[in-house]
Amino acid sequence: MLELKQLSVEIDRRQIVKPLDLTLDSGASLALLGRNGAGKSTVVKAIAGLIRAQGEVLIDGMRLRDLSMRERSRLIGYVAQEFSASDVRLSVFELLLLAQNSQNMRFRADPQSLARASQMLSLLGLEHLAERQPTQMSGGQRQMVALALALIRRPRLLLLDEPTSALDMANQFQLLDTVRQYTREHEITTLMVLHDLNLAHRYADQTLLLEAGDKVALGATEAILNTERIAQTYGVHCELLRASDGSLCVHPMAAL
Amino acid sequence: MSAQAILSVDTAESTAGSEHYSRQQGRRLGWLLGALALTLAAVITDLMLGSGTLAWRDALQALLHPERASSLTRVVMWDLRLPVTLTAVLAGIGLALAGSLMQTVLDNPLAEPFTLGISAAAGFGAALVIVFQTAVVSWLPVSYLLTGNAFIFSLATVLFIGIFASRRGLSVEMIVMLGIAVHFIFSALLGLAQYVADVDQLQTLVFWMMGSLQKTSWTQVGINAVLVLVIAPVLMALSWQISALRGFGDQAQVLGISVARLRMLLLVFAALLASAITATIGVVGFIGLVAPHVARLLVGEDQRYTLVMTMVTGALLMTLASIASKMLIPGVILPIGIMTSLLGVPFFIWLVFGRGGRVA
Repeated sequence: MLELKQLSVEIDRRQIVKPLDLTLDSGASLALLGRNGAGKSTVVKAIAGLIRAQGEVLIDGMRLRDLSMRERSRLIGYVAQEFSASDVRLSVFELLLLAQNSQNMRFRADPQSLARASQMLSLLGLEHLAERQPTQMSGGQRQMVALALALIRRPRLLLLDEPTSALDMANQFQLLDTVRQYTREHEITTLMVLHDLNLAHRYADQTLLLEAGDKVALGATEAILNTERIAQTYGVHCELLRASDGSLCVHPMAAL
Repeated sequence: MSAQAILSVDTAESTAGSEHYSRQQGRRLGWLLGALALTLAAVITDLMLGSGTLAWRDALQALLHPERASSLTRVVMWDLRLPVTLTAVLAGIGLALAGSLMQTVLDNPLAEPFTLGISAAAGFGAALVIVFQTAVVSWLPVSYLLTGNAFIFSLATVLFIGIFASRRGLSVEMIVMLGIAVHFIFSALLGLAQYVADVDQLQTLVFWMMGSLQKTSWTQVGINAVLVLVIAPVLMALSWQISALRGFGDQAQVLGISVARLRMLLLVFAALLASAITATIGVVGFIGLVAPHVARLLVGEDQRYTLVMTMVTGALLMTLASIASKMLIPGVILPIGIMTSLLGVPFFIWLVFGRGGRVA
C-alpha cells in the first residue's frame, strides 16, 4: 500500500536521509526509531510533501508525484509533535470543518462536513471540546484534536511525528489506543515516529531503525528491538522484560 | 474511557458541536448586519456634512433626484461630496483588507499595509514629481503624474520584496527585515528630497504625505472601485483557504493548499490595494492595523465572516473619521490621516479592554 523507492532528502547539500526503500501493507503500523537527528521526522515530512525529496512515494500504486496537491492531501493524514493551530481563535468544531472544506470556493460549508465533524467528535469522545479553542485546552486534548483533524479526511496513510512526546502516560495510551483501533477498523496504514521503545513494542507491528539518515534495520518490532541493537543504536545498556500482558518492556540500565 | 469504549459509541446521529456552531453563525451575521447599517448611516451623515451650507433636504434631493436640484446643489453633492465620501468608503475597505492580508502573509498581528515600506516608497515617488519634476510614468497626463508615480513606486517595492523572497525561499522574518530596510532607504531618500526642496515644494509634499480625502476625483474613485470589486470576490472564494493558512500556517499544505502560491497572491493583492489608495489619498495609518483586529474580535477567525467584517469596519472607521474631520473645527476640513488615529485608538482600547477581549 505504501511504497518508498529510493526516497532521499538533501538539505543545504547535506544528505539527511539516504536512499530508502520500504513497502508497507494496508493497515500495517510501523514505528520509525532512532536517536535525535537520525532523520526520522525528515522521512515523515518528505512523505507528507512538507519538504522536498528525491525518489518515489507510492500510495495504493499511485505515484504521489503524478497527483495534484489536492489529491495527495486526501490520501495522507499528518499529526505533528506540536499542534500547529495552537494559538488560532477557531473552535475545534470550526477546525474540523476547515479540514474538510479547505478546497471549498463557496461560502457555505459542505453539509456533509457538518455531520462528519459531529461524528468524529463523538467517535473520539471529544464532544466536550467542540466549542473550545486550542488555547483553552491541555496538551493531551490538543493532540487528540490534531488526530481528529487528520482522521476526518479519511486518509489512506496516517503519519504521526512524535505525537506523544508532550503527553503524560494516560494521554499517551489514550491517543495511541485510539489510533490503533481506528486505523485497524479502516485499514489505514500508520507510520509513527516514536522515542519511547515501550510504546513501539506495544503499538507497532514493524519497526524501521534509522541511524544518521540510513536504514539500520527493518522488520517485526520484537525482532528488531533486542538488547544488542538498542546498545548499538542508542548507546544504552538495557534489559528486556516480558510483562504480564505478554508485551515486551525495555528497562534501561546504564549509558554505555 | 478506553479507546475501545470510545470507538464503539453509536455516532450515526451525533450532532456534537453543530448547534453551537449554527448559533455562532447567526450571531456573526447579526454583527455584520449591525455594522453594515451603521456604515450606511455614517455614509449618509458624511454626505450631509460639508463646508458649504446645504440643507439636508436639498442635499438628499440632489442625491436621489439630481435633475430636480439646483445646479449649485448638484455640483456640491455630485462633484465635491460624493467622490470624497466614496473615496473614504473605498479607502477604508482597501486599507483594512490590505492590513488583514499583510497580517496573514507575514503571520504577524502587528503588520499593516505599510509594513513593507509602501508609505515611504509612495512618498518618495511623490517627492520625485513635486521636487525634481521627474516621473517614471511621464506618459501620464500631468494631473495624474503624482498619483501614478507614487503608485508605481509603492507597488514595485512590495513586488520586489515578494519576488526576491520567494526566489530565495526567505522566511517571514527575513521578509519583514527586508521591508524595514526598504522602508529606511526610501525614508532617507524622502528626507533628502525634503531637504533640497524649496518652501512651496516642501509644503506640497508634506500635505501630500498627510492623508487627505480632498485630493480625490471620480476617476480615482473608479480605479479604486474596480480594484476592490475585483479583489474582494476572489478573496471571498479563497476565504476557506485563508482561514486554513491562518490556522495551520505552513502545515496548511497537508490540506492540499499551495501555501507559497497563496501567500504570494495575497501579498500582491495587499500591495495593489495599499498602493492605489495611498497614491489617491496619501498615507492614512491605523485603519489597516486595527480594522482587522476589530473584525476578529467581533466575528472570530472564520475568514468568510472576518474578511467581510474587516471591509465593513474599515469603511465605517474611515467614514466616521471623515465626519469628525469636518466637525472638529467648523468650516475647516482636517486631513483624514490625523483623524483616524485620534478617533480610532480610544475606540480600539475600549473594544480590547472594556469588553474583556472576547465578543463572538
